Amino acid sequence: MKILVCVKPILENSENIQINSQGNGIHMTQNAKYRLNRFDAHAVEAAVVIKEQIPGTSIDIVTVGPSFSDTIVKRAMGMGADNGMIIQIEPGLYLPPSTISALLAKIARQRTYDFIFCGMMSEDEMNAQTGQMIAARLNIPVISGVIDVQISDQQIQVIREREGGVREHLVVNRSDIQTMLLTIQAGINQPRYPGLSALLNANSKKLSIINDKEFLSEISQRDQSIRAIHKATKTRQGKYIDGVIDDKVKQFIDIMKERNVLI
Amino acid sequence: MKTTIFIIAEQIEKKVSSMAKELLGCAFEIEKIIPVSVHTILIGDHLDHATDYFVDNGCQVKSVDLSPLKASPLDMALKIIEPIINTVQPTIIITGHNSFSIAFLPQLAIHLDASCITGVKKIFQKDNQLVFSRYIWNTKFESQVYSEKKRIAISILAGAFQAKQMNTERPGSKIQVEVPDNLTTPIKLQFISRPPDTESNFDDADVIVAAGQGIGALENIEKLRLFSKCFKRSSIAGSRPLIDMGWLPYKYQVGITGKTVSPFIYIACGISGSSQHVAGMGSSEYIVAINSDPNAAIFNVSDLCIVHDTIEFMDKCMEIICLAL
Repeated sequence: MKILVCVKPILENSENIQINSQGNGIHMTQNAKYRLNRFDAHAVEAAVVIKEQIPGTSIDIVTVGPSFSDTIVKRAMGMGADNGMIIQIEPGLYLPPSTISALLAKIARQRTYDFIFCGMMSEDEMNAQTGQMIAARLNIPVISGVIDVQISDQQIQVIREREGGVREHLVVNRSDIQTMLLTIQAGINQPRYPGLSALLNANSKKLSIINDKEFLSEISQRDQSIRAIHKATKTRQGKYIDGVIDDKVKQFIDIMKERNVLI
Repeated sequence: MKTTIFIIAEQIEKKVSSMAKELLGCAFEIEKIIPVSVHTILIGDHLDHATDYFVDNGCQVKSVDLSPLKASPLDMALKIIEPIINTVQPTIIITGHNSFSIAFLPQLAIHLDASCITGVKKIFQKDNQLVFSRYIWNTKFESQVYSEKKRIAISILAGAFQAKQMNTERPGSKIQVEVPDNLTTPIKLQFISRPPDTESNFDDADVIVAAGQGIGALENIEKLRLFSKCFKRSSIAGSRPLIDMGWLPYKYQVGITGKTVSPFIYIACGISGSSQHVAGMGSSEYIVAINSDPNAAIFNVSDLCIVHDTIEFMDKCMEIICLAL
């Protein structure tokens, strides 16, 4: 069985990040350090658990990022993945999920996978789009927000989280599908720390660097652009409930009901 | 030339969801900038009230009853919505940013060659262009984005847009759309589970009901405890001043010197909202503040603000919730 896990590099020390001088992106420093997006770490762990359960499983890791993204790919390999790929772009180049998904879908099309795992979203941009978009481009089924996955010869059993702790228990017959994409929600597992020997082994492996112009042709296509980035105002959009006590209580109870938290 | 807006709303309960009302509020915000006509598709169960609500607000409503299906609406939404969208050809598609939209909106955007902007908190016009503002980096920054496509599919943050009524001069209409028999998905829904209703401990409580000095007297702690039992997986908590007075043990303290919590819902009862307290609960998913002082700082960080005597409000809530049991 072959699994592709898509991962994203995230700037470390988020408390120190600054807006760039053009005011439309995050300032990139020379010595900035990157780590694996937290949701993607859960996706890698989920794939490694399957590899441990099902002999003959191999895991490929792919990222879209600058050359220094190799650290996060190697970390994922240290956790138990077999191969790593970097679709290499210039540092500081902003690509929306639609563009990223086009590049990742190309990789998935070139090789045939049984499963594609993505983190549900990235910690920095929180779009929650890329996995879904890859699935749309490949025309394959997708389940988002997965907090449990069990794979047998015949079936895939998945639990998907909805609001208020509601969980949908889903099943897919493997004979009905070829490739399936899952976006992984935090809480599915505890991502392991790579052992020293695993990290050293991963470090000695060669990563595939994909940087030919034809492959990267989608980079010029984008569905949206950033006009400006600025510091957020800290306050929330407080909604006031007006009226007499009965109205206030009624509206409050309605909102709580909707969030499914009342007994 | 009017811009066609297409609202997609999931309906679960009989009441019109507040997100559905906020989606209409968002359309209203856009109408302040450009002339619009509004179409709505309602998907789910108990569609009557919501259908009438949108019709009364001048929307062309299509309702799709999913109750006979043995699949989750999340896995059927794309297949149902896409053909309807193609008949309406909207410019702007609006839905709520939640597990429902996450399951289909990005796919829909790819199919329609639309731009996909999720978690929108504000919309305005700049240089003749609609600009969509969204949080990045865990609400540290706001990113203002604009579409490079003719069509735009957005999802809005809960609470970001006020539930407002539209200009009702436009006549609304409604049509029921049947789900075609041949619509299938390989993803079968076996069953739905819900979290246990038993009281859980502080750390993994979904709802935290916290008290400050504003609750007035030590005897009211028992009332707080009872009020918290109206919620599933709930716990009580307290602010530092209340705990310093000995009204609750220290293990219940939320704030810089106590616990940092981020439950699904945090209900601050009679809490003034000092920065020390806010630091311990400010990342809660949804914050409700009940305080008799309209100038209390807690309202600045709250999603839902209730200016009222805390004890009277809790009493009335318990009365109504108990009646419904």
